[in-house]
Amino acid sequence: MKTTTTAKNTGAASLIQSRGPLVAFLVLCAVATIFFPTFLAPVNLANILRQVSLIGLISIGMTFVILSGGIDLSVGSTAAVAAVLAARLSGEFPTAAAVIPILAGLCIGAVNALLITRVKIPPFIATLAMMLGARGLAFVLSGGVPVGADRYGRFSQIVKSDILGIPCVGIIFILALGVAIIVAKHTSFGRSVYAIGGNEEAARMMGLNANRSKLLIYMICGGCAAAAGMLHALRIGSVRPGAAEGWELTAIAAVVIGGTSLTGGIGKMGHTLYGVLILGAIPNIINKQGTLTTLDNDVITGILLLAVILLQSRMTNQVPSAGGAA
Amino acid sequence: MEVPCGKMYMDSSTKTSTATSIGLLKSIPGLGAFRDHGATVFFLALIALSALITPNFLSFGTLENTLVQVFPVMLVALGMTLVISSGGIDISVGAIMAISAAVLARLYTSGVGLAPSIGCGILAAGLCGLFNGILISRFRIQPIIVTLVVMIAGRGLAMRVQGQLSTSLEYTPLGNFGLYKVADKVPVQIVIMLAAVAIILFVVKKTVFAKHVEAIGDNCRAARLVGINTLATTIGVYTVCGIMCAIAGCMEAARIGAVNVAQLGLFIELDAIAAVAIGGTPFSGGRTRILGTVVGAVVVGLVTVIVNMNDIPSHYSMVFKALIVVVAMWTQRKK
Repeated sequence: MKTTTTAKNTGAASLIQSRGPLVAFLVLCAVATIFFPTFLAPVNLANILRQVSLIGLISIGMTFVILSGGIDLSVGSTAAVAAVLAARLSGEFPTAAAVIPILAGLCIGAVNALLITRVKIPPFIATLAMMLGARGLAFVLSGGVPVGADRYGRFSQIVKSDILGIPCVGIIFILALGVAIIVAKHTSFGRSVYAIGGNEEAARMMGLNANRSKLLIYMICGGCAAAAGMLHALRIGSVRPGAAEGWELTAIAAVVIGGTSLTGGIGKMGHTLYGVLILGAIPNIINKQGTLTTLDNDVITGILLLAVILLQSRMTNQVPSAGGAA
Repeated sequence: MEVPCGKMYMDSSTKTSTATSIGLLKSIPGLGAFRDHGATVFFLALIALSALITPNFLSFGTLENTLVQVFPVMLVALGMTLVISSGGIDISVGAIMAISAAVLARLYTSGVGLAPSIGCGILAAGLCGLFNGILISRFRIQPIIVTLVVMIAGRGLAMRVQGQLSTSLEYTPLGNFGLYKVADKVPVQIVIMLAAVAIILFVVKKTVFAKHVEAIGDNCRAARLVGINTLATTIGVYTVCGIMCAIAGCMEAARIGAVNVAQLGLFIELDAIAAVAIGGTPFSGGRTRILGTVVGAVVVGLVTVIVNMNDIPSHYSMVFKALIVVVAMWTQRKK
């Protein structure tokens, strides 16, 4: 009885599953345009892209982590550390200001991976501890006060500018996403990510060096977060040590809305784009609406996230779950 | 029929390595004792260290101050321990605190009596816990994502309930209650805290419910197959956690004298999880170490107090807490 209904629904269900996030985004855009015709104006779309690009960068790294069955709660704090470093260095050492923060992010990612693979702390706890620790580090590095970045330097100007009407940060994000998609689909590293996420024990038994893959995965995530933080510093010009608070949750939400399963092994890097865009479109619409506040924005994001999760769980329930320990 | 057990918690490798490693671990003398009492060791070490470096540390004033500060974390951590031993997690605790405090503030400032207001606050939090529990057990959504949703949306909801960002409770009987001292000596927070610990300890040691919680945390499918009602137990666990948050939230509202939905209980989930980690309850579920959590919560509170008393900038407390959590997890791991 179950098999026939599954077969009948496969057409629609698989379409939604394979293109779901895109469909959701298009529906959202359509509805928004009906109420606010200015939504589809190129200026507005460019604004949305500008707003989401930094979170989008973080989401790219987060997608790798979640695909591998882990999670990284420290990305917000990593971005803050990178932002403070970039701000500190930007005046006298413009090149260092671009490089050192990324290195810091890679190191933080490496420490995360070590905590997870060597000390065997669950990713949730390890990155939670790092979230606290790195945030403290950001405060220490900044002396507890906002740090000014060089607003007039070369890099800063580039980052804040538009090229052909598309924000520079948007271009960086799209390029990074393109590279990430290629890595995820066409490299052995990408396949190892999916393998570890699908069934880590089996992956290890196949001879996969899971520890080394995880090291790379968390380093990439840390690097992406650091890049986002660095761009943030260059763009805003003044960095509070409390910056980027909550970014990790938005990144996780974007990845999940994009269809990647938190249990790992299922999902597409490209779909994270739609999750990111949806999360950018919502505040934009709320702004246009005018009467709602930031906290309401969160309520809507929460409801949307819930709806996506319920939909996902309904669809995966039609597929018999692979065995394995609970 | 479908077994209502999703993948509760995302750690794939620790479960399979547990069985083979316990035998090894037992063979190392002394290590077992340290594992079991790691939190106490930390606690004593921390006390010793601070007694050395902090003037006026060993006094009743410090003790009282620490315990009052630790109160919300302690309560939330108690609820969190139950949730974690069921194999789940609850990061919405701060938001639930805010929701219950907002309900309390809204009703109380509209003229409803104190007891009914608090009752409704607890009810609201219980409903949040119910919501969490149902989504996790009936719809088989991962605990982290469900509680993430509530965490994201909760404070916004609280603001809608309250009608505004912040409500003042100063000069009200509730505001005074927050500073009340039983017999003029013991802050009311300490009394409530002791009562809560006693009740939860009783529940964990003496009730079948707690045994079911541990069974679910250990192996959910097996628990279901032996007839444990995983649905009811899971809902119960998250509801209990919600109620603990409500008590913490209402008392915080009383202590601070205001309810600011964006600030109340902010980041308390971090402290609560840290307390549980230090206390030794395994995050893969199956064991409940209430006394460990109690000590862990005091350790977390002590870090803040010590940092304050030594005039160290407060953000260093985050670094210390993170380090303590890492060391605690390291010493208590199954190799």
